[in-house]
Amino acid sequence: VGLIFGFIVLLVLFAGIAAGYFELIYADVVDFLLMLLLLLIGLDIGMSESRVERFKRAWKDATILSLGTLLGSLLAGFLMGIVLKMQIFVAISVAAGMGWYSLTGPFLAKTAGAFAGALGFTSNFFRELLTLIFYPKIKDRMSGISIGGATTMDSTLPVIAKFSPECSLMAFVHGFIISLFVPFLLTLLSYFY
Amino acid sequence: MLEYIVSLIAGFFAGYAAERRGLEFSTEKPMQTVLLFLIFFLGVSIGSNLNIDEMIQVGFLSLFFAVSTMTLSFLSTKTLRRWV
Repeated sequence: VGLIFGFIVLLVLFAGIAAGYFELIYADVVDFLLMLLLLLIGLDIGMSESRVERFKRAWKDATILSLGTLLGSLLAGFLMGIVLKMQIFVAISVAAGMGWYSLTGPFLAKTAGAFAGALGFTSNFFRELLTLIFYPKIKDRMSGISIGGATTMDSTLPVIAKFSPECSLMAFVHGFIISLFVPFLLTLLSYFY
Repeated sequence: MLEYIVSLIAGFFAGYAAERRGLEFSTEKPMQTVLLFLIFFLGVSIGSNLNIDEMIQVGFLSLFFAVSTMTLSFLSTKTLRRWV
C-alpha cells in the first residue's frame, strides 16, 4: 500500500509540474488545504489513545531516540545552510521535515517559495527511500531507527519490523513523537525566514 | 502562520473530545485526499516557477540533505544513547 501511494504521489506531482509548466491551471487554495491538513493531523493526534498506550510502554528509550533524531536533523539543516550558502532557517526547515515529505514540500512551497518546496519534498522523499535501502545494513539497529525520522511509524516500519522485530515498538513510538513535532517545528521556523 | 498552529490545536482538541464521547472515525482517507491535492499544487508551483536547471539542482541538493540528516541523526542518537 505504501509503495502504491508513493507511486500515486509521484504521478500527481509530475501531473502538477506539467500543469504548472504549461500554465494550464492556477488556483490559490493551498492556504485552505494546508489548514485543512493540519486540522486533520490534529484530529488524528487527538484521537490516538491506542498510540498513547504504546507510548507509555516505550517512552523512555523512544524519547532519547527522538531527541537524537531531532538534534541531528536540525544540526544537519544548519550545516547544510552554511555549506550551501542557503538561508539558514529555510535549510533547517527542509531538514526539520524528518522524512514527512507530503507535509514539508507543500508547506515550504507556500511559505518559502517553489525552490524550497521542491527541496523539502524531494529531500524528505529521499530520506524515506534511503531508509528502506540502508536500515537493513546498519549494525546498531536501535540507533538506526533515527535515520527514518517520522516515517518509522508507518512507511518504513515494515522494514524495521522485518530486520529487527525487537525494535518495532520503539520505532513506532519514535515515529509518533517525531510526527508530533514536525508540524509545530515547521510553523515555528517559518517565522524566521 | 498563526492560522496553521490554530488549525493543528483545534484539530487536536476536536479529536480528543470526539474520542472522549466515543465517536470513532478514520482521518486516513480525507488526509490522503488533501495531501494529494497539496502535492498537485506543489507540482504546479514547481512547474511554473522553476526551470529545468533548477530542478536538476534540487535533485542534487536533496540527496545531500537526505544523507546529511540521516547521518547526523544516527550519530547524535548513538552519542545520546551512550551518555544517558
